[in-house]
Parts: sequence; structure tokens; C-alpha cells
Amino acid sequence: MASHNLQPTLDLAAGRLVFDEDLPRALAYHEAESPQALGWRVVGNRTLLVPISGMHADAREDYLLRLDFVTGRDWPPRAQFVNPETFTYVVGKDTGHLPQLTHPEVQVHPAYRSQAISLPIQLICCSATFEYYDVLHGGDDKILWQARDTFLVTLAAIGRGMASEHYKGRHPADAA
Amino acid sequence: MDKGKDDDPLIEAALEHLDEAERERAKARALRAEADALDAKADTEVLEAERDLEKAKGHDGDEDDDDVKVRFRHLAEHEKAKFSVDEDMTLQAIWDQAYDELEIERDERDVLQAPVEGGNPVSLMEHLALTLKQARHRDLCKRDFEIAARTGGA
Repeated sequence: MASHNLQPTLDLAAGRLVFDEDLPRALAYHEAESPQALGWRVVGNRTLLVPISGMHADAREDYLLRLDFVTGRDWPPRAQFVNPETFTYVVGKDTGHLPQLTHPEVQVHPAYRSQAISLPIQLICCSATFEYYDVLHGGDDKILWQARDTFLVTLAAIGRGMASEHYKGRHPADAA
Repeated sequence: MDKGKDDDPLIEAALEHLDEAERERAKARALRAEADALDAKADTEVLEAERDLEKAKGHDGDEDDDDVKVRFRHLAEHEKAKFSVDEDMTLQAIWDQAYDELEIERDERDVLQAPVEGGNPVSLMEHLALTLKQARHRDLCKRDFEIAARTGGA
């Protein structure tokens, strides 16, 4: 079970199994016949790309969320907003592909530093992302990821944040 | 000669009888007109009563219309349920009922949200005291609800 005091361990085989099991369940939940029907895109055998939008000051901005299933059920998937052309996020280069979000459940940091990790990373600071535990963020145990959870919990949490007044539009791009 | 005829008592009696008959006929016509008026008034009252009855039935119908079907889905359990609620029920009361309908126990992490087709779900946690009707009028939700998990990261 997830813990605020432990870093998750990578287990790619277990992650693939979780993805294989949970993707059909998620499609059934949404009554969709395919990932494409929801605008989702499967890349490889453990990566899902999900478009996420936000409205701020009457302006709609579109973002791309990447979920990587890199561990078993005890931990949530990796989650990062990525450059829609490269499907990756490079600190100091792709900040303009991030939403500015400081919601009580979800905060997006372009370059988060922690003693638990060697290099700064994009952190979607939410107990439904792998990185939240990997940086040993700490928090209330009542919000820990549970083994029964699926990535729909991750999408719902980020979605609630993006639908709230705590979303402040697109993050300014990095200086050239 | 004509005068003589007028003076004829038989003729005079016949004329009086005729006058009396005319008066009776006029009286009958008046009574008939009065009856027709009463009849028309009665028809009007019947129509009004029928309209009132329809209105009353319509009012009852509106109350029935206040019962709307809502759909709940549990994000973690992937369970679904549809059930009828009164639009004057609060979101909190409807949410409470959903656990019985879904046959799922409430978890302290649970939050209530309204899914938006093609968009982000809207948290209803700050609006649980609103009735369904009020929440719908504020465009916070329609008739679909999700029970999701509260997360954290602030």
C-alpha cells in the first residue's frame, strides 16, 4: 500500500499488467469502445496520452497529460504534462506546455526540487501521481492512493483542479 | 258595422283570450330565455370547474415531474445506479441515498463531482446544501454524478 514515508519501486511488468487490466475497465466506465473515442492515445504498452483542457478568462487552453504505468497497484501511475509534439517534458524548455494550477488537491510545479531526487522534475503534486510519493512530499494519510484505485482517480483529481478557479491559464513559456 | 263587431261580446271575449294567450306566450319566452341564461351560466361554471380540475391535475403532474432520474457512478468500484429523486432534495441527501442504491459503503475519501462530457468534472463539495433544482439552475450539474476519491498535494 502507498505510504508517505516510502518511495515507490519501479516494476514495469506489473505496470503493464495494471494498464492492461485498467484500460478496458476505464473504457467500460465511460461506455467507450476505444481510447480514441475518448480522445485518448495509447503509446507502447504502458503509456496513455490524455488531452486535458482548461478555461481561464474566457480562453480555452489545451494540454496533453501523459500517464506511464511503471509500478503495481500499490502506487499510482506517473503523470506529467508533456509537449504535444515530443510527448516528453524537458525542465527549462517545455514550461509553456504546463497549466498554472495551484489547487488544494493538485499543484503543478515546472521544476520541483527535493532531497529525495537527484534532478528537478515536473511535479504534478497530487496523491494520485507516482511522483508525489517519489519526492517524499508527505501529507495526510487519509488521501493515500489505494490499491483499488485506477488512473481514473488521477484524471478526476486533475480534472477537478482544472475546472476550478485555481486554474490560472497557461504557464508562461521559458525564455529563449 | 265594424264597430258593431267590436262590440260583440263574443268577439271581445275572444280578443281578451287572445291577449291573455299572447301574454302567456311572452311569459313563457321570458322564462325560456331565463332558463337558457341559467343553462349557459351552468355550462360556464362546468367549464370553469373542468379547467380548475385540469389545473389541479396539472399541478399534481408538476409535482410528479419534480421526481427526476439521476445516475451515479462510483469511480473506484466502477459501479453504476439510476434512481429517482425529488428535485427539492439536497445534493447531500441524494449523495447519501446513492450509497444505498450502489450498495457501496461510504469512504472518508469520497467526494461528489459532476462529470462534464468532453470536459473536466466539477466538484460539488462546496454545494452540497443546494437542492438538485438549484444546482441545475446554476449549471453546476445535470443528472449525472460521480463519487470520486479526494486526493491532496497542496
